[in-house]
Amino acid sequence: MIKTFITIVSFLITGPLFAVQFSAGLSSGVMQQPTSNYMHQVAGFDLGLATDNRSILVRFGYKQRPEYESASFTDGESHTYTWLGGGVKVVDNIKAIVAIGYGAIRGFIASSDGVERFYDLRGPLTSLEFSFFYRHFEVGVSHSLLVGLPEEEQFNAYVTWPYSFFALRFGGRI
Amino acid sequence: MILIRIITLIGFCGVSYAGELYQTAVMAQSFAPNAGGQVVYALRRGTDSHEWSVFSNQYLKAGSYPLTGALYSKRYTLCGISCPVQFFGQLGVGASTAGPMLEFLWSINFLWVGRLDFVSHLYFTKQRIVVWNYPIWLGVSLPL
Repeated sequence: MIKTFITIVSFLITGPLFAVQFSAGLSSGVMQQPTSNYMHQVAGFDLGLATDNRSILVRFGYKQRPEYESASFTDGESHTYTWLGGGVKVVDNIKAIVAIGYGAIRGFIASSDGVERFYDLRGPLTSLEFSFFYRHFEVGVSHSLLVGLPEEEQFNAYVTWPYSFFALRFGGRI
Repeated sequence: MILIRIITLIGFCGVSYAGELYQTAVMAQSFAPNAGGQVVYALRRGTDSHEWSVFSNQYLKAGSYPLTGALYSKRYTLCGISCPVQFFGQLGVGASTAGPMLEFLWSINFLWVGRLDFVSHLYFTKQRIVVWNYPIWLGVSLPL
């Protein structure tokens, strides 16, 4: 009885450790702003967990675009996200990762006379990534859409702020 | 016939189904970064592996007419048509009145009735690539 109990407890503790892989990645790409429709270069990193067969994945990430200066204005933005995804086999070693999560955009606009304005938009995030896996390495191309939710009055008027990301990602897992 | 299909779907909920089920969706209203959102009509018909669709955006114009296009999409399904709540992503290629196009789509379907899409389109116009988003695109979806 005690032996069975210890076996079950041991399995519950150690099982997930052996069934889960840890991943880390670097990515680079472009981001489209909803107000200007300009495309900006972005780069970032991510950390994640996945089952051995990569059918369930969790990822936490950060992206930033360099500060841009024009005339007497400077602006910059950063992006954080978390998503839960499922892997669907496309062909051997390539999976489509379909994910949904939550993300945020934080930015600022500063003028040379010292006036600064900050903003923080948050909302649901969806992602579709095609990843090639080989041993401990992976390369993926992805599209993500962050839907920045406005205040209630604007939302009732069907207003949202969509940020579109296209990225190339290099990662590893153990 | 529709009732029979719905009852069949409910009966097979959560159980693998050998036959190929079809689903037809009509999309109408999308949010946008402007007051009033955007009216975008779409007719979508697909299975768990692919989808055909046509759409017409009444907000965007290509020349003097609403931007209109047709797409074929490969569907990557997490939970398929037999699930009460369906999740899938799609990569589509097609043609529009603005030029060739790509579609990235993420969708959730509720109880074989409501459909909520998150979509980005890339239009390859003569001058440049235009990215246009449909951040929350609402419609109805039926197992037909």
